[in-house]
Amino acid sequence: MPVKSFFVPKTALQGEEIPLHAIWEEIDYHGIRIDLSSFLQLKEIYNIVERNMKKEHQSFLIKKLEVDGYLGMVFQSKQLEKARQNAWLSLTFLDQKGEMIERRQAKIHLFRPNIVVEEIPNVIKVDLDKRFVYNRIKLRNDGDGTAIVFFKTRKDSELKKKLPKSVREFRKKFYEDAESNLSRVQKQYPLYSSLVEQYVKLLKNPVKGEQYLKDMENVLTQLKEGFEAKEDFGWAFIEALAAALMKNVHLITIFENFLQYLSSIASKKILILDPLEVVPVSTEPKELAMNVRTTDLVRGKYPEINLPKIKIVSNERGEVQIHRLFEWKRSHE
Amino acid sequence: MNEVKFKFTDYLNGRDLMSDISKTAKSLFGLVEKINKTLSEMKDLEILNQELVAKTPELLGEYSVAISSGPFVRKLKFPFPAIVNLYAHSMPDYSDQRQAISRLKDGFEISLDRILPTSNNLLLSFEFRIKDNKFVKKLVRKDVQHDSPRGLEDESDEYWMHAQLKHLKILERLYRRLDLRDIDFGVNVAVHQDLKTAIPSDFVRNLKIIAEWIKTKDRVKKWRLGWEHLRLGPKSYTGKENELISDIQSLFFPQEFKRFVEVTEPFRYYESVRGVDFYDLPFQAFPKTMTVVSRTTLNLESPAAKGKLIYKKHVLRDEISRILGILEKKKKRKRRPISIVRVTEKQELGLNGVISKIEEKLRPTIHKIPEKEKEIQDALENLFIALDYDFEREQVSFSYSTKSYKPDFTSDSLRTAVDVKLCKDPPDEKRIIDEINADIPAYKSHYENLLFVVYDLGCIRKVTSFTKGIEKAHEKVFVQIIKH
Repeated sequence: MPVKSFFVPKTALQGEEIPLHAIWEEIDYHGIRIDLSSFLQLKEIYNIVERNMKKEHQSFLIKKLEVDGYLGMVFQSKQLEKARQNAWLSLTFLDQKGEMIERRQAKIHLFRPNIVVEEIPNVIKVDLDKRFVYNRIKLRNDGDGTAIVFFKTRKDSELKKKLPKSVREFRKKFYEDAESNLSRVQKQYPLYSSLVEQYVKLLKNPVKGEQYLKDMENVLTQLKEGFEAKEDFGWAFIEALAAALMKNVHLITIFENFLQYLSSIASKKILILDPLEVVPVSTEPKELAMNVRTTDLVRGKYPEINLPKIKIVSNERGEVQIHRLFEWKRSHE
Repeated sequence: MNEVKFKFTDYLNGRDLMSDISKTAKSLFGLVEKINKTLSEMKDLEILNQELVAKTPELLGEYSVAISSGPFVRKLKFPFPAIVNLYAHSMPDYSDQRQAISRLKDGFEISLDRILPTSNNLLLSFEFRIKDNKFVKKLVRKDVQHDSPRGLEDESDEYWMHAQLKHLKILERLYRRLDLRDIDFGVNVAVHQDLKTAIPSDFVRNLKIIAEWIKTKDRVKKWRLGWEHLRLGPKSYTGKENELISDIQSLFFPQEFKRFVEVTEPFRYYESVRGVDFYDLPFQAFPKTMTVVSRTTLNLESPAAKGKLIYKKHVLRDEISRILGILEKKKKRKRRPISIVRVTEKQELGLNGVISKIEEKLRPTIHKIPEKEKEIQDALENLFIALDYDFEREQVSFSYSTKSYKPDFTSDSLRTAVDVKLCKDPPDEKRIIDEINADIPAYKSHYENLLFVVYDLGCIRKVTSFTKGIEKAHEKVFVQIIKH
């Protein structure tokens, strides 16, 4: 078998980087041509020098490799209009006349989440006694990827989102203690001081959105590298957070914790970024103007869903968690 | 074709990583170069062989060099503080010669007159710390799948993992043999949906009542909640909610969670840790993801590795149901006929397994008399997918003599090509035999094993002579006739 190993993943999240490798033996070729569908862009290529490669549209012709028998590449996939789309890629060994000696083709199923609106009511009724919400907003994830969903109340909304008092209290105390504990870590490990400071800043100001997740991911990646380079720093960091958590854990029961966790997971691969956010409700109908924002597991950006104003009325004064105003339908249910 | 401005390794962003990689490679090999220089400057000493192993998680390098020394070489001095340990073994008996090694203030020394029994050939192993903790990142490109497209109804999720060396030539130029061992790969396996699905709604309702009852100070509300709790009736978990939640939590401990994952070679499972979700910090009791760490090794002969992580989510869901005492009820429900991933079984059975599965399962999937070969190919493709066999459909083409060939299915891991033939009318029998005989030399030039699946609508009378005639004449060629 001249081609010993060939790999292109069969599935990938749209926006994800896609690797390719080919390892072969005893192929007497004159060139290698790579053809890509327009959904892919070449990002990196290994084992080749610049002068030995030519590009035309979505085709690349490789004349010579540094070490024969191996080619490595990385492609960038794009976020596409369709939530499910197949991309094609082929690698062809050519003889002197430019004719095919051997060809490997690959089909990559590119997927993403796709949050779509199914039904938006004019009025939502909340029964706080029965813990029931009638006539909810129906959304569904029509794609195959995981969606991370978060809510933003607009300026023209009568009802504004907030966190319940007990959660605010818990978070405030936790953040205070975490900041104080971490400041000791900063002094102990000045090399990582600014990194810890960035983390505390993000922790205390969770402006939840794609940018927040990207920034947090970036800081976490750097912290992880720091933990790997200096194990003591890793332990000190974890202990500082654990101590802050333990100190305030009495403010939240294990049942609440578990319920909050379950609330953050909607059906059909939908995660709610902050499931504890609530809006105040009362017997007098008030308008809620809200946008639904989505990202995916590679932090892709999606258009916001602007929901029209909806009246919310309850049987008594209180608070309702925003995610409970939604019914997450399965695809084509 | 037009000439394009092409940059090394990072085409899209136009970054030139070459010099960085070169520096990394040199820093990794700096000590090795010094050792080699010391050895090559010695008269009456010859370097026979050398090997460098980088133990990537520990950031440790191990440079082994086999030398042959003449009688005039008495001492070998390596005044390099970066060396952590030095081992010497005489060749070929591999006996330990530690008595010949002395630790100096700034390195090591070997007294060759202390080598017992006297041997001219020695294997020296130098252990040293790799200072650059990002060296793997610079030399190796690592990719893992971020999300699995499979749905809740599927019994497992799969995530691909891939590693490739960025620059072979520079590594090859600097070194003859290099092993980058135990390169770590962390895949974030999403567990949240399975946890949510496995927890019954009445259990959640029960917890909500308890949580509210604990929190409220209003006596009337407490009474109402108590009454509501009673109305739910006794369940298998009543009174044990706290304990059960702790038991569910314990499924995500590394030792427990490893039961739910399987990793294919050349990757191997190393450990599972809770996914990093510090931004979710106040809610750390349950993970949304588990980071499964797998490891693989790359070297100059195998510069790339592909692997698969299988998360057996139905096993986790069953385990949660067992904890909550509802497994028996669930078991009564009918499972989907196509079972879980059978990687181990599949690997054990190899091509024989494929043949017997085709024999057993292909016919029941054909519901009407097939008109075209494509219908059989479609059915076979569905079968391969359902059984998780690693076959690609019409993805490989090659030239043989002056003709192009494209087998219907190919598998690199099984080194097998599969072709489908449909025998509709009596004259087809001879035509198919001719076609198979014509395909064999071409297919054999690329694949060790060939399998011809002949779907027969009742035209082949002497099945044994049809198959044996071809199989006897060619090694590792199999013909399987499926009767409609």
